[in-house]
Amino acid sequence: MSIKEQLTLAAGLAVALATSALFPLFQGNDWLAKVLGAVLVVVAAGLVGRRLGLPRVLQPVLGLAVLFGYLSLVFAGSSLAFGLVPTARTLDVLQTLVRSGQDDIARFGPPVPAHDGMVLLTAAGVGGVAVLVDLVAVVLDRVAVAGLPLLVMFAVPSAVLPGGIGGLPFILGALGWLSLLLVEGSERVGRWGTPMRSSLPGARPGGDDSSLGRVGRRIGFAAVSLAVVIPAFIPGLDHRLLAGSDGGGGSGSGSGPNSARTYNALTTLRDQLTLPKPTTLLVYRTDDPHPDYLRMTTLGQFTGDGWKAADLVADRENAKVQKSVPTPIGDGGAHQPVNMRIVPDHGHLDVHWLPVPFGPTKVDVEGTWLWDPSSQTVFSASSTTKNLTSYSVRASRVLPDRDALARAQVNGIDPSISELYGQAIDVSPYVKQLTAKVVKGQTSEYDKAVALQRYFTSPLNGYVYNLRASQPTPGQDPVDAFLLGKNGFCEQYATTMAAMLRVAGIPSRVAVGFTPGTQDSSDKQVYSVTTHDAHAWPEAWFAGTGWVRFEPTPAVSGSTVPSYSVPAPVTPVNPTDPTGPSAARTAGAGGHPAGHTDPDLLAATRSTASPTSRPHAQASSRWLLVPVAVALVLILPLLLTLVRRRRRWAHPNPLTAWEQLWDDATDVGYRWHPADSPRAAAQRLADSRGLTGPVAAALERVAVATERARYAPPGRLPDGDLRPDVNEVRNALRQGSPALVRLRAAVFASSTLGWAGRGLGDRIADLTERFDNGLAALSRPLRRRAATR
Amino acid sequence: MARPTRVGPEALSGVAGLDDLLEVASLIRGNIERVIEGKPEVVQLSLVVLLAEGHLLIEDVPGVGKTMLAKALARSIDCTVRRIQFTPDLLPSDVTGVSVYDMEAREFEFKPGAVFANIVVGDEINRASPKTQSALLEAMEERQVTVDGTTYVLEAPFMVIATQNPIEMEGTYPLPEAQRDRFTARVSMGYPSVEAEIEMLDTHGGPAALDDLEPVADAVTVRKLIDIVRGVHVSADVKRYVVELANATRSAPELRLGASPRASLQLLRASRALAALEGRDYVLPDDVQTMAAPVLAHRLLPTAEAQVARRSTESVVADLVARLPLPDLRKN
Repeated sequence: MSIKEQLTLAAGLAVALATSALFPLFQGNDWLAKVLGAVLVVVAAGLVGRRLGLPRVLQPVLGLAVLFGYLSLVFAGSSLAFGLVPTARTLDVLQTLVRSGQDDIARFGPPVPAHDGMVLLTAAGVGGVAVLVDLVAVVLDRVAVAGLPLLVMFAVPSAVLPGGIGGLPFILGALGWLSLLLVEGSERVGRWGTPMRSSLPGARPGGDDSSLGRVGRRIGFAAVSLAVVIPAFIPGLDHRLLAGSDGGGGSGSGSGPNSARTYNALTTLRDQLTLPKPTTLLVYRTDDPHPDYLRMTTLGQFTGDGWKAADLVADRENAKVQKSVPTPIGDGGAHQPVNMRIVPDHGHLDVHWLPVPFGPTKVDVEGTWLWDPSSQTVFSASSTTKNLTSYSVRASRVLPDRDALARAQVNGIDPSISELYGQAIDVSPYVKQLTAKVVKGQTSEYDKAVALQRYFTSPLNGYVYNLRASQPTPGQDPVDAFLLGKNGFCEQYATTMAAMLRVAGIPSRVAVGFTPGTQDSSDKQVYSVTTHDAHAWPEAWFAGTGWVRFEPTPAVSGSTVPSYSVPAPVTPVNPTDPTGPSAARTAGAGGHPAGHTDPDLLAATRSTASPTSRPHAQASSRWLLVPVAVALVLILPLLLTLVRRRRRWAHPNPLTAWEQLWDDATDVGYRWHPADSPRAAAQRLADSRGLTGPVAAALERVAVATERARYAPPGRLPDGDLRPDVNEVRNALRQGSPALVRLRAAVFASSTLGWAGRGLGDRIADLTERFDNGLAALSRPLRRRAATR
Repeated sequence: MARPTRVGPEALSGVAGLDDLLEVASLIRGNIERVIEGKPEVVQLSLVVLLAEGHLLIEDVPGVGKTMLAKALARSIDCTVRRIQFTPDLLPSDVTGVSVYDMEAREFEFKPGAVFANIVVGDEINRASPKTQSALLEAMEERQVTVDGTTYVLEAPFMVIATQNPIEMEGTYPLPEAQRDRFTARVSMGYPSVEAEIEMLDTHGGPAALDDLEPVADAVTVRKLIDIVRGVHVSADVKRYVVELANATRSAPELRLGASPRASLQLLRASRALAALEGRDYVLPDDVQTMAAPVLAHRLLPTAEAQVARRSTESVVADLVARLPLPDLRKN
């Protein structure tokens, strides 16, 4: 088997191994065979193309053509004429699938169901990467650079998986790439001839290939190990590689079947809100004339990055929601019974949490659904809402009383609540100062909470509802970014207010669920909930009442400001308090839905929201980042080349001219003989590339100047600028090269890559040497002890 | 102290710089080429050795012009020339000289041997016994002769041009390593090309061409040329390259004996002379590469395996030159 064929196989293997990074993106493994099939056909196309001696330019074209044929056959087989030939209908079918795949991307957070559309996109993407890797590694003979397209396979999962891709896929991908390098490396070593083996036992000759291999393996092993281990110890790089794929759900270790590994509910929320068109998720009938929000789950842990959910834990036998749901701690005051029958619409909602009204007491639902009392979440570890046809909930809704809330004392907080939800959190000094300023003068916990809510809802403070939230600059806290930028949607308002509540000493958390939705025009008891009704809000805990929701989000369809959360009309308004006027405006909102949707305010917020803040923008911008990053990486060698050239000519002398000439010839694939003197090297280059006339003369001028600068007595630098000569030779070299080589010289200048690689290699060699020395120093006392024994 | 060598006539010209060196060298070269046709590289090499203050060993089969080259070079320079025909019965004192008791003066008088000349042509040096060959050793390296405890300094320039037949020929004693090491360069004449041989038949059919040669330089001139060569600049990179090349021969797997430090020194001297003959006052790696095989090859001993594989030491040196990287040009 030729080296090219070996490289083709190794490239395929590397892509196949890198596919392991996609596992956490999908539910189940049904997609795998089709995706690997795409890699397989690309490899087969490469092998056949090389056997037939196809021109190099055509090889990627053949790969793409075969890939298209494969995708047509697998995903649109019925539309093919004679079962083989693609027709116009094939394109239609594929286009429809692609669209449905894009919808799936927009609709679902990972893991996504392996629908045909998604699998088609994935197979096409992975097949495309396989073609690219083949192009770079085999056609362009730049094996190390082939790591870049392989990185794309990791870029997508690490961009969308909240917890990163995990260590194993990374290691597998790295091994794939290393095997590619190994094939190329052994071929390069092989050009020197068969390495000699020592016949003497115990001898350690320098050229022993096994020792060479050992060094290579050690370097590879050390590099992969360092890449996996180091991020865990560097602050700022989170533990993504070491942690599993359980996002905000913590480690998940030891949780057994009675707990669910939760994906970040906020990510799901964001995905729902940013869908281009609202999709109906639920339809429900309720006897509550003013239905309140539907809760899914809560996020109670604040880390530096934001709010995360703890593992949901419940006893499988005793916590089934079908039996009964215990009353939460501290749940007191007046209650209102609520009965609700909920019908998930066509399985569009696919989460592990069951949307239920506040205070469920009994849930009639199929399957094992459990109650986590701490977060007050109904969840299932084994199924999702997708499989449900309908379920009924009986709830007892707390009707908080403003006076009771105002009487609640901090010292009345239940220890189990304060331990989980009342701990001090680590926020920036700005958040602390702002919180202190907002709650200044408020005596009770309740008043503080109300003041905080008012701070966000008051139009005077300039907060704007915008699906394109204020983004933190590097190193900036997301909470700070929002408080300063004042642009965001419910996620930012809810998480920020919850954080400020904690700062103010009030137990808090972020709840995720839905606003009541749209009332049916004919049947007033029926409401439908769409993706755009997804919502997040803060909850605060007050002794005697329990968890109470607040609504700091200024304007969003269907959201309601609870009556208890606005001050009573008699509350004196501090004239210097900028939040004052809003109190008067929302004071009358005693019922549901409340009049928080001040038409002026709404108009103001809508007009300031830019047209691009339409839902899809955020999700698509995240996907756009990947090609942009890849493009940046691809353009990097070009930039480096230009910078190096500019730096050389900043202080022109014959030696830098010679360096530039050396690099230029290297870039068009010329191999210099290191034993040649400048004059001999120039002669050999001219002979090899057929340089004659003025070009050969220019080349000779550079060589003579170089040898004079290098070998003549000091102070005899030749006059004249050598740059035109060097440029003339470069142009001639490029003109005499095939188009592909010219392109490669311009974009992937091998001299630059070699220079960067040498620099990096030197650093790594230094590092491993220090590591070796350190190990030796550590083990020396042990060895000495062993020797003395 | 006796100074038995004859002082030559006044310098032909007042040699001062490279241009004069080139002029004189071209005169000598032209003179020699009148009798040695078609071998410019051999003539050049003998000039290099002359200017590098070295000794030349010409090795080849009989009848290709070894002695002719030696004599032509000697004749081109107006200086003392002695020729020693080495035979198995030649005694060391024939080479160095002998002290004879003068009855009238009642004292020992030194009768200088053949080595007391500016140019000594040792013909078929490997036909003499090792003892006689060794008598040349001190003279070649130290440029002096010690007889009966008295040391006689030899006049500069002093150059031994020895010819020898390959050791496979009958009746020869292989030259000891120590003595081979004292020759700056070894050169093979090789058979002339057909054209050169035809021309030779014409030229040499008539009166002896060698006898027509007139001297074109004298000892003083040559001494001045040697001074110029000594002043040729050698950069640190070139010096390192020379040492690395010598080192490479010491670790080459094909060689049993590598180049000595004396070889490095002579390689550098020869490179200087070559640079001067090319009109440069600085040495290039190219000069070192050109001189490597003639200067180094005859000092090296191949391993048994290399001998079985019929690898000449010249080809080993050529391989090393082609493989050994120059000090990296791209690093300042």
